[in-house]
Amino acid sequence: MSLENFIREHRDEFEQDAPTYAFWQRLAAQLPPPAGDNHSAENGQNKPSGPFLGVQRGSGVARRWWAVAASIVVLLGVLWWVNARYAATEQPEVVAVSPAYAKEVAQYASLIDDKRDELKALAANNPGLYQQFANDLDRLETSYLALKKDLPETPNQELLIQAMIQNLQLQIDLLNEQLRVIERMKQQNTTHETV
Amino acid sequence: MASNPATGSVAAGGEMAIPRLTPILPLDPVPDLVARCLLGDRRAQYDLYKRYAKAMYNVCKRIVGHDAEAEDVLQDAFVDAFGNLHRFRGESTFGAWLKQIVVNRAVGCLRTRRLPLVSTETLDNENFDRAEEGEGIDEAQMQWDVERVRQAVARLPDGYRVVLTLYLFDGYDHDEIGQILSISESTSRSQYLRAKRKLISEL
Repeated sequence: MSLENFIREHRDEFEQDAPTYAFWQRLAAQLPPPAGDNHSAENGQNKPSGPFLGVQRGSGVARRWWAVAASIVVLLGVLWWVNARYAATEQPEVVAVSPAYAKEVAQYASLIDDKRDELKALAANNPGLYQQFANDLDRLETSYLALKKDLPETPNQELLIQAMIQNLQLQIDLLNEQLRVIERMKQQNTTHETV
Repeated sequence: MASNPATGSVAAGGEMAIPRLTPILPLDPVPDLVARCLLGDRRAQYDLYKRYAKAMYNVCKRIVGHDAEAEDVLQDAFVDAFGNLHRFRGESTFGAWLKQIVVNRAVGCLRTRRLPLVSTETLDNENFDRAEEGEGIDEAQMQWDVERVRQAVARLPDGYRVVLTLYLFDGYDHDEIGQILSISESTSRSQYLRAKRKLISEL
């Protein structure tokens, strides 16, 4: 029998020694500390890692409470949106005179805010032009604020509110005009570029 | 092994309604252990260590030839392996990967002793070849004994012992041994034959 065959056949008999348990203990001391032993790892798996997992895995009672909480959040959101949309609370002076007018004023005011944002975005690359437009708008806004300030003392409140609404309408008209100007400028620019 | 493709095709065919009649081979627990080790699971580290410790310790001892040094090498190798476990891509078995680390560490340990791994012992090539011719007859008539072979291997000079054990016990071929020891394949081959001759003469 050749040496190679002998060793192949008795391979296991050559493996006699094994390191002691003390060797493992020394080795383990050199390994990086475990991220977490088995026990805590299992606990971690059972624990929901967030409130939404809690909804999925929780009992019926817990689920109902989460549903209630979610409903409240949604309701508050809707109320905030309605309030912002028809910001009647922002027009207490007008509300005092006529709730109908207050609603109209709020609608105009919110429309103006939207259009101002739009204008700002469109004129972002032309700060000079935006400043000019903003100055015109501010002049109307100042007269509006003056009217609003006079409202509590004025004898004919309805007339004054109508003037305020007219002012707001003027602001909207002006904004529309400004937006149209910007639109036209952009169109010209693009046609110049394409030609 | 022949039953494997058949089992696979049943599963791949998606015939879920038909109960699998072929016995399911026991799953290799090593990939799972490796995955758990990567998460820092100390228990998995111990299980993986336990599975390979004995074999790797013997690899170390045969190469290094010294108990205490073999333990040091083995410890460094395991620390290295656990620390670089993310580099194990499963291209080979985990055992082969670990063994490579152990062997490289053990050979590195020998190198630090500043002893030449390949014996510089001059050998008359003609005498060597003549010795080769007669060797086969000697081997066939030998009465081998595990313990005596073991002791004789341990007594071999480092350069002989490393090549001989890597080839005979650890199943590396001469190309692989050449790479491990940074020598040519033919050097490994001739060194092995010399080592073997020396070993037989010692018995």
